[in-house]
Amino acid sequence: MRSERWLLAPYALGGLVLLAIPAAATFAVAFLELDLLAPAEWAGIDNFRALLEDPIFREALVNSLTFAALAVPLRLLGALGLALLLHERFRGAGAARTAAYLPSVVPDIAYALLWLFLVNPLFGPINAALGLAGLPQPGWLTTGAGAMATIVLMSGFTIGEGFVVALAARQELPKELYELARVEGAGVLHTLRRVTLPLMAPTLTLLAVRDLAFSLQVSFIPAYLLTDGGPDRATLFLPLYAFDVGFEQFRYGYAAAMTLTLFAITAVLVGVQLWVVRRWRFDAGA
Amino acid sequence: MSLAFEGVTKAWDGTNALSSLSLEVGSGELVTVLGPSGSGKSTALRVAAGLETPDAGVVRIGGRDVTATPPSERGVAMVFQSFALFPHLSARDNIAFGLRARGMSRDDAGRRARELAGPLGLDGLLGRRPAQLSGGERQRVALARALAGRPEVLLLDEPLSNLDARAAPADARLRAEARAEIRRVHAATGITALYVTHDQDEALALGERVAVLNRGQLQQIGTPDEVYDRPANRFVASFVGEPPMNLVEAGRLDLPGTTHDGVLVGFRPEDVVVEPSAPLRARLVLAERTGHDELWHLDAHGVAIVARPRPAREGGPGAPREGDEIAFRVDPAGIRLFDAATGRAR
Repeated sequence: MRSERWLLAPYALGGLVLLAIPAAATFAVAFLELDLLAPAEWAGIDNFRALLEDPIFREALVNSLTFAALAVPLRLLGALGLALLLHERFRGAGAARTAAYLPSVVPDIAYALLWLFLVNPLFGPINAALGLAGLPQPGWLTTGAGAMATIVLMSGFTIGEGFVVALAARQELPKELYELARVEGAGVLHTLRRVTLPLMAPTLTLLAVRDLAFSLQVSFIPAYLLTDGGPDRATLFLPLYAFDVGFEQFRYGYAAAMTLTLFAITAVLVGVQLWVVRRWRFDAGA
Repeated sequence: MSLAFEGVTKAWDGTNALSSLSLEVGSGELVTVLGPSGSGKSTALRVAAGLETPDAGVVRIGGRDVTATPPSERGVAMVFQSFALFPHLSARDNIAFGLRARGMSRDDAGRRARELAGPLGLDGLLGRRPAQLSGGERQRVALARALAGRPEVLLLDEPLSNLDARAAPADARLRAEARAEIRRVHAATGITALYVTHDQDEALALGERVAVLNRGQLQQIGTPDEVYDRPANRFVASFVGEPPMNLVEAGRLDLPGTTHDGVLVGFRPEDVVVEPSAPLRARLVLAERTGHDELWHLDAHGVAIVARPRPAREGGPGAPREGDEIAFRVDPAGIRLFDAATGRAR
């Protein structure tokens, strides 16, 4: 038993070198005035004070929260909906499940290029389809709202992991509970509300928490590749702004303070989320 | 309300789980369905509930053809082997589940749950979740839930086989109590009940009539005494009874007045009479004593026979030892004849 713990060593080493030390360094750097030009100087909470007065930071924070507020429910509903549709065995279920998972294994850059093509205002298939249907053809990436919508939509398809977890959770639920519900006259909605959702709640909570953290952090990649924060900073999310400040402007201390703040905001939001879910579960159970 | 199967057939992957089953449970009657695993007994119950659609045949409840009626509109309730209690709901909400699903108000459903809790010994437990209840309590919650909607027909799928398997000695007493509970509920409500089990003690003790099923076919239906005393065929003879009937092949049997060719002679272990003046001889291979019960495994010239002798006093002069030769006869009143070819009782 004891000797087997050594099997953890590679992971522990990776965690230390790639996560723990950089995190500790970030924490320390956040309290320094550190850039490439001058030697490091103790700055105390100056960096954090500056954040409060930085209008771009405020804009990026609002963008990030907006994205999370739109993307998390969408992604969760997508994963849950697909799991509920595809948990039973039927002809083609395997192919459908594979299709649901597939967008999640496309490399980020290829996925971003795909969406650049899809939403191209002139010859992209989305606007072509909208045109054929006689619907308005939005400019997508050329407007702020359109760019935000595009990135939210993009994130709505890369839900493979959530889907697989929700699928497994649904398949774990005993068949007899559903047979009993049928005999006792519970309809589809009553069964969903009183049986399926409460019993899947622990899994859905986990997915929601994970997705919130994910949405606040990883929204960086599509925004960086697709819009570079534009147009007019409409998709400048916090991690992207921190990246710009740190690695384009080389203001390491300020970027570190921003990262720490994002971390704190994420922690608070996850806490609120857990509290709400616990309340809801208590209500559903009573 | 009576429950009737008329020529019900159900196949899974080409093999018949039920082959043209015809069976009627009279209004207010409790019929137990006894059979080994894979005999189709659970399928029969699920067809009655409407959880499975038969390939052929008709299911009637109170004379009405319900073959195509959805489960919730048949006036049936079901108790599952696993109890199928909702782990996130209290006992009260589990009992009230069907009532709430059918639109009863929370207050009325709660009142009905309390009403059922008393007689079933669930007072004070209604606020608990299934995980906080014992096996017996869970079983009673499942029973209360089934009764909550005042169904016409109660379907029970091995409801006692899941009682605390951990506590073996307490298990037997718990089952006996649960059996008494079900009998009491049946008497009190006058509900029509179909009760599926693989446990013959349960089937014989509970059923007003017992239906024996094997390989999807009804072997016999009758009162527990009929099934035990007059097995309709070789299968019933060898399945019912612990241990079952001795079946001895006799090419030709001469009895006063008649001669039988190609018969199996059946007799229960308790119909073997051991006495010194008896004409038959056998060697005692093994004497098994389990408390009050004693079984002798005999070898009568190559024919294995199980006997349940009247208990001889320990160390008495007549008590044979393993390896001894004994003299026995079979009580003629206990002899049943079966056709060796068809297996049917003669």
